[in-house]
Amino acid sequence: MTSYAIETHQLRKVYRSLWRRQTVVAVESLDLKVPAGSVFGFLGPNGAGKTTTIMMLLGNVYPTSGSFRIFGRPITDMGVRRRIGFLPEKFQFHDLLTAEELLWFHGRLTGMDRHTLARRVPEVLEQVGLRERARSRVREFSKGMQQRLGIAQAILHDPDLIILDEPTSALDPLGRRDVRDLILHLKSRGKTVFLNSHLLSEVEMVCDEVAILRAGRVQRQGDLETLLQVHPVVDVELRTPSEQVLQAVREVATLLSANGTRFSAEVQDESDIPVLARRIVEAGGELMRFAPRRESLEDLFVRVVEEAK
Amino acid sequence: MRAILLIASLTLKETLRRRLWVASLLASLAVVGFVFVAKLGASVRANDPIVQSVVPRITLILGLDVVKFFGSVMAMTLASGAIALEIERGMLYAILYKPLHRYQVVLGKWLGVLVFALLNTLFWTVLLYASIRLMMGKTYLETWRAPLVVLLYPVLFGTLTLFFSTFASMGLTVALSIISAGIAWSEKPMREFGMVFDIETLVNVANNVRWIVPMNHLRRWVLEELSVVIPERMMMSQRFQAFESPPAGWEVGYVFGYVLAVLMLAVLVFGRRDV
Repeated sequence: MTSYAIETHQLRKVYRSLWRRQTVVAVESLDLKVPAGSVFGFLGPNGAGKTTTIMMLLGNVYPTSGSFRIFGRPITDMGVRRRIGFLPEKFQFHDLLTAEELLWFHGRLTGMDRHTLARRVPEVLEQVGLRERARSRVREFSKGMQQRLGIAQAILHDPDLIILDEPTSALDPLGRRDVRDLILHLKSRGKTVFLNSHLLSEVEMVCDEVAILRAGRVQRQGDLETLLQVHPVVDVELRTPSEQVLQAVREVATLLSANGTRFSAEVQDESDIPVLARRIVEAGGELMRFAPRRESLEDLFVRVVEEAK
Repeated sequence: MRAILLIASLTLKETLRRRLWVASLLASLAVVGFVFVAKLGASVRANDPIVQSVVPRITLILGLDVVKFFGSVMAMTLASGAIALEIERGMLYAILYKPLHRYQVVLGKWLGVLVFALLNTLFWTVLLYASIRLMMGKTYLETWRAPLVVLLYPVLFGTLTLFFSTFASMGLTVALSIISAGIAWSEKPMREFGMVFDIETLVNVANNVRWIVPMNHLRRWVLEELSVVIPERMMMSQRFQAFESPPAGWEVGYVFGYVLAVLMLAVLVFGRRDV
């Protein structure tokens, strides 16, 4: 039986203006299941309700209706809170503290003892590449360094669920690679990572599952491999255009576009790809190019969001 | 309790590193300067025994007013940003998900703000007494209870401002706390004006205002504790008798109950709001 790190049931959040004249539905009937030990991508265009969902999961924002559980327990359970690490999207630390002092403060707040902190603080600073700056004040840090420190704060107490809200937005390519490696390292240790990021190529590289949100609703959710392989697309180029070939293609695939000697066709699954090639040849087509194309996460994202409009 | 103390010590540390002690130093200079100016004024009539007797006493009474003012402003300044600003800047996001209750955040902030404001108020009070002793040669140790009541000013205004800070933006918090201080301050002139010109409505408004922000109870309590140094002629005047009667025991109790109620309200409001 799969155990879930996060389970939401019909979660809904409606923001009302002060005099209740205007209402904004930020999250609508959200059903989410995040398997424990997975890296879960939480995607959606701006204003889709991702950050509101995260804030509800952390107990910062109260749901209007619905319910959710973290590791099977409500967020009011202090034991569950101890198992969560969080990097907010927009945040500022108490910047007059040094990196070391800040981590000690957050560690103590999580209930860590001095002995563990003395070992753990240099360890995580090393992990995020800030060991040399341990005694520097946070206000001297660049935005990227502050984000690294934010990640250190989130993993300091070795939590089982790490929620990262845009963890690489201020990082350079090297920093992004470090975060990617860190996420994979956390996964290898059985941790659950809940990742909200607009950098879909990165999400694709590290996530096992994704959910795509639009206007507060989950439009698509599932195993990334399965989601991307549902309808493989093949780009074909013939020596000469042929209506007979296109007719044959239509029998086994959906013709997406056709322009002279070139066309793209979508097949139901990967096993149909050789069948398509055979049909084209049997119909007299002379293949110049036959390139199966795996849909990227970006393609899927754009398609899902467009479909939901 | 540990979470409360951690947040209080963080607030205190941040306050110190933000160099608010510079403001404290300037206030100290103002206190010393005030006594010096009074001494200078009295020295003009060095041979008048009445002046030499009254000026140090008036200096103490007015000096404590200066301390009250600085203490209240200090507490209001610190409390206005304590929660509102931290929400606006996203500082609390990395704290609130930790295994702690929201009431611990409010109490930690309250404690941190008040410890700093109270230590400053205490320091200025000691400075005032020491300056009067050094420059005027008078020691008023018999009034030792008055400074303790003065310490309640930052408690009152700091708590009220922290409460505003739990639901309003930083700008609105500052505005609301200034309005509250204005309401509190207006009571005395309103009452005096109403009584002198026999305007009953004004007196009634003043009577109600004192429950909204009970500063006047504290002011009269301080005067009561200072009564041994208040010049006799002033004490005997009808006007003084009418406006400055000592607060009854239940009025003092009201001040403590008020602070407690506002603090509980702050905990309740912050506990129920979206952050």
